[in-house]
Amino acid sequence: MPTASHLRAVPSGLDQATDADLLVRAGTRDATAFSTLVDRHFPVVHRVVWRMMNGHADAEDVAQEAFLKLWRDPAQVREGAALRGWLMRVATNMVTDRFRVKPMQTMDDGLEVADGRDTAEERLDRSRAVATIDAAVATLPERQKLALTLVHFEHMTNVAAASIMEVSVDALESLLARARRSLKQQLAANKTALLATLSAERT
Amino acid sequence: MSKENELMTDAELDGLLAHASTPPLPLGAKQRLMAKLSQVDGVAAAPSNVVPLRQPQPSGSRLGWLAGLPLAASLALGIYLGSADSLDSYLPNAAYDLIAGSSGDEPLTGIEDVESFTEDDLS
Repeated sequence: MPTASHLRAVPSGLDQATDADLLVRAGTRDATAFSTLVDRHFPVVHRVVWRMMNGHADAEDVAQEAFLKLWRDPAQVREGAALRGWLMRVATNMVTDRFRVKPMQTMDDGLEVADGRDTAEERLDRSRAVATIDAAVATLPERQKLALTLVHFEHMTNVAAASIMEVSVDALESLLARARRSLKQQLAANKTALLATLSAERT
Repeated sequence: MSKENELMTDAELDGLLAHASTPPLPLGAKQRLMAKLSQVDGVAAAPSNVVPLRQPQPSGSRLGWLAGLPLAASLALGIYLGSADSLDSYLPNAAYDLIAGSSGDEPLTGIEDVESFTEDDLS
């Protein structure tokens, strides 16, 4: 972790400051610097947690807890470049702990926003198609879901995702392969209808 | 593998996953998080029972090196005594006489000098 001497080199505009610089400032209880870190990383951490919790409303609380843990002791993160991975690892570990207490299978409704151009029936069909896909993803085992979320939905490299999950790249690829195989089996029955409904959306 | 391809291709699966729900960031999430920071601060601001270590003070005395003089002299004497006279040839005569305690002004005369210690002179 950079030393306090780096503070002098941090540009006045925090948007241009590196995560390492902002971490040093956060260590001096600089809430403004921490706010910049929140802007950068909270959305992606929340998305990952949200998918891991199948859309449960507590996803925000879990994501917040990860950031509060960082705020308590920013020096926990030894390298600024590893901050995002650290946050995701902490947040997903918290999700795992919650799953141990009580399984979460709910998916919040009302996520689809109507654009006003389709009929109510078309919107309903589309909403059902999306819900079917979400439900299939939700049934995946936790590790497979996390691998799929990081690589497919968050577009991370296999190396980065493996690092966050603390597994080898081979193990990650195995998890991805099993996740995709499971999704294919679940969605195959409705494949034609799903593709027709969702492709109609594009036209 | 061929059976899987019959079910669905990778491209078809990717196409379906592209339509999966994208979680919206809850409104006010950042404000709620930042508000919690002060509560964490409150916990951290509790009185600490950690006693800081005393910072080492720079030695301000200019005569501190004098403390090393006896040690240096002791070391030099030790080397000399431990050398079993092998250093004598390297020392100047004055230094040799000083250490050995002899003086060139008092020539040794032999057994005649003992006369003053005869029994008659003892009283």
